[in-house]
Amino acid sequence: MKCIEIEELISGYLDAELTQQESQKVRLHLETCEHCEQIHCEMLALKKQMSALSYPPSDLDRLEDLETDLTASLSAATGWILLGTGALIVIAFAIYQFLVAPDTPLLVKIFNSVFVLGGVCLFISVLRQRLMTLKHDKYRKVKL
Amino acid sequence: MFEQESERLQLHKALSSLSSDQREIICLKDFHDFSYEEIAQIMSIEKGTVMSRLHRARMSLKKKLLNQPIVAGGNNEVY
Repeated sequence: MKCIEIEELISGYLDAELTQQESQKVRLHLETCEHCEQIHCEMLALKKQMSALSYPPSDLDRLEDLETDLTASLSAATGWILLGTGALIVIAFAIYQFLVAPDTPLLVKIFNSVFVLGGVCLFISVLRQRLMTLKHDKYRKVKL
Repeated sequence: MFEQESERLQLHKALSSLSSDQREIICLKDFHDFSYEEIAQIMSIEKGTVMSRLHRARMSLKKKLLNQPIVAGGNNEVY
């Protein structure tokens, strides 16, 4: 084979993308041709240099790191716990105040309680559906 | 250490002076280590074209590196 034909194959040889037969041809040629051997050495050095380069992280990667680092996770968890506890206390207090209020008729108290209870039941049903879907989602761990 | 840094900067400079197609194919292979088959899919070209394009790109990069004066400074990023 001529040098010009081999030169084209040197890249494939370096990247181990040639067939066994082609690799053999290139290897034999490189043993006898100084010119092609020099190109081979230079390409190999270039390939090594390239693979040692640092790659700048993308904005999305940075954002993900920011969202998932320990401080962010801890503060988010603390925030949710405080918010949840506060909301529970406020709601419980409001319900208690409403139920013990002396000037509200009993019938109004019952109707309001039924109305709110219906809303809570619907919320729980939707929440349950969402959680079930999430549990059976095959792609939830796939990073898009 | 200084020599390594200087070499790295020169490589960055040489890479950024290539055409975007050449830069892309070199980065996909040598940096991300994709196979020719994967590169062909990514770049929407024939698998057979990948080797010749990659070879031409590497030859251009080598030429650019040889023609470059030795400098300390430049762009630190691949793209």
